[in-house]
Amino acid sequence: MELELTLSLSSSSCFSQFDLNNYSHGNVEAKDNVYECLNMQPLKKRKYCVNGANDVESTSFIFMNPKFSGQETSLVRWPPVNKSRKKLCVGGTKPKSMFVKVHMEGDGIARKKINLNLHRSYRTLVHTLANMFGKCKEDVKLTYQDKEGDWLLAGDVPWGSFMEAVKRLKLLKNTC
Amino acid sequence: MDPNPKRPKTVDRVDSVEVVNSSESTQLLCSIDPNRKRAKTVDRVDSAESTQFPDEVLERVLSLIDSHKDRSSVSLVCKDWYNAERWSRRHVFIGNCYSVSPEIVAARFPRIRSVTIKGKPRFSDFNLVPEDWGADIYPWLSVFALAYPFLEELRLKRMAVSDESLEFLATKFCNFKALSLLSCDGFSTDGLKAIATHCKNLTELDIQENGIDDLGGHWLSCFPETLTSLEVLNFASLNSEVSFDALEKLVSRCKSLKVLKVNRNISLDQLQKLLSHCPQLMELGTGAFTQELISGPVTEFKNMFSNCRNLITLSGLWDATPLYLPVIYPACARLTFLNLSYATLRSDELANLLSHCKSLRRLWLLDTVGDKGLEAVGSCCPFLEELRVFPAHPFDQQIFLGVTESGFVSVSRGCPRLRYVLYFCRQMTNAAVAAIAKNCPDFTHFRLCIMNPGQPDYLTKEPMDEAFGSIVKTCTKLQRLAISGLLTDRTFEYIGKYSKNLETLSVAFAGSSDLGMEYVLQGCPKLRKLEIRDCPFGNAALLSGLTKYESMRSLWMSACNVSMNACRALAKEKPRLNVEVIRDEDGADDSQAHKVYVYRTVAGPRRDAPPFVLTL
Repeated sequence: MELELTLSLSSSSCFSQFDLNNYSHGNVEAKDNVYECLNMQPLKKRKYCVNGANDVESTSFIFMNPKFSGQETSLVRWPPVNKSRKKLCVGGTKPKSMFVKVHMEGDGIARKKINLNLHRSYRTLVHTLANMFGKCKEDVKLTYQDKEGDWLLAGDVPWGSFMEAVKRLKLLKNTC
Repeated sequence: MDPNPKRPKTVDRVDSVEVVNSSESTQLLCSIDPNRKRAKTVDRVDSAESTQFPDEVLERVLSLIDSHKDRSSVSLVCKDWYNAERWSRRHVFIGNCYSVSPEIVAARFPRIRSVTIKGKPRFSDFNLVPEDWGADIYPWLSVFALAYPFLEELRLKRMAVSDESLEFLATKFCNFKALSLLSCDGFSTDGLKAIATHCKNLTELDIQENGIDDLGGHWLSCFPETLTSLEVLNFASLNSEVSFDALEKLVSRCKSLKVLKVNRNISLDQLQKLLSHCPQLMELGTGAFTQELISGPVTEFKNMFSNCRNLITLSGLWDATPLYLPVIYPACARLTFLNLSYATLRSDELANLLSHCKSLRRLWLLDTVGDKGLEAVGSCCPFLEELRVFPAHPFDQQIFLGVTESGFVSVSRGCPRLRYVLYFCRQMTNAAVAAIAKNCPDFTHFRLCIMNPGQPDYLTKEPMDEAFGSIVKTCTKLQRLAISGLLTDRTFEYIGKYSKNLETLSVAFAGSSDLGMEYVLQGCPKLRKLEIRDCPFGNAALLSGLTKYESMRSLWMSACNVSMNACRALAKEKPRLNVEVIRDEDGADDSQAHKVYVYRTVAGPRRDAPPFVLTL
């Protein structure tokens, strides 16, 4: 089980439990059992709670706020990334996938799927689709079905509008 | 005001990297031979030490000195020199707006034309300082309107700037030329309208990373057609669309334009049009570097940069795809600064691009380029001095992508002249950092952010103490250090013992006891700024710096273990320090000081402190 303990807000951290009169210097002690740390009584020294050595991946160091026992609170304003850069990341941690079905004219009932969110232009989309069906991009024409059910030639509207309207894709053989 | 030469030098400290080396000027001062060519009023001299110059001569010579540090030294020589220096000073730098009052500045320096002021503590960039904390520019402007009506330049960082302040600035200073706002907040595009409308001699408008209320792009259309003096225009961080027609006309008539950084809304073909009007550009920030429609072939843009022979800085490049990136290749050979931190490039895309960039000195990247991308940096950019690698997904803990220690080591092998690094990663080892230090001993700024707090060396599971130990031992020129990972007091012991030139230290989630902070406060003779969050440093640590804080600009401690009583004790002992506690919202525990900001000042306690800031 992966322990998902996170750092509490500064005002209600474990430190408020400390009795400062008993405060003295000490060394770091890695704790195997995180919960031992949670039962910090008027502690003589602060200890860092590190996840057990078994857990290689999430060696994050964390506190649990006794006030919000059981509740998770995320790391406060960390890592130190500027506001303008944060704005770019919000909501975009992982690109959400947008899969649509693609059919190649003449390919029978075979259907493939493509994640449109990985593309930012018609050019890369056509290139990828052509590859998917083993064709050259010059030999195919891309059409799509919009929300109203109409089949339209791709490339006439801005990419953003296309992304909002597209429901299905179809590659036609380029006969010209 | 008593021009006592022994007054604290709170206004004189320099922080800016662009300190002009004026050793020539000071040598001039010492070696000038008054017999040779000067006016008859010059006194006879016997030696350089007992030189007597009339004020006019002294002022004239001192006016050549730009460096703040040199000017500080000059003002301490004697009363005459103090006076000559204060009359000849044109630019004043104020590193902490509360360390001095506008009245004191105006009284000491009567002839200022250019002012730089920094306000909030740096951790306000990460929302650790509540809104309405202070650092309002308005009180400064109202004093300057009387003292410096001919003020030309104002550069602000982390100040609160309202639209009223901007309007005041635009209308009360008839000669105003240059405005630079970095990480400021409190204003909207209406304030920019005022600047554009009223500043007839504007040469610079530089708006970066601000908390601005973007009400639309109409401000740009407010520049009158008579305005032709613009040299710097940076509105990259504004979101709204401006009138392209207005922009194109503005760029066409401003023949001295050197810096143009547009926002994301400017398309590639619009950019091409703009560049055709200003081939003399030295710094360019592009808009979105991609097209939506397959309208024309990419070749139509291939000459976009061929006339820009002076271009040395390139930024922007939002959404740059491998399809359009080759458009910048013709300009790459001359580039010294390339900012790709808004382009999600992969390693191969970066490698292709960098193979054209032989002259790079500064490079900013997103960690999407991976370790492989950094290998390309190492092999293509031997003159690199600065590297910043930003995280594309800093808040997603599930991601195991980005860069690792191996990318950093690759860069250090190929770029021995590295002196400034900011590196965000998710894993690091002591051995890697030791190798990096050995490859690049000239580091002046080393900022390593291992994004999981308290993470040890992922191979040995040991703390990262030895990593930072090797940095401070090897890199004797180190001025700025930011540490991360699992760190014990040993790290601080190393820092205190070896960092003789350290001026700025940033610490988070580190240390085991008070000793850590004490090591730093007792070592580090040149320490000026210490910012600490989420560390086990308590009252003993805070009070161990009693004699140190007056020689520093400021101390920030949040989420540590400091009590209100200790803060009160510090405030009582040191009346020339402001000891401020920012109270937390839920105000749970009133005996603890959750956010402490300590700074030296000659202005006394703040008179504008909001209710949640307690000055002790």
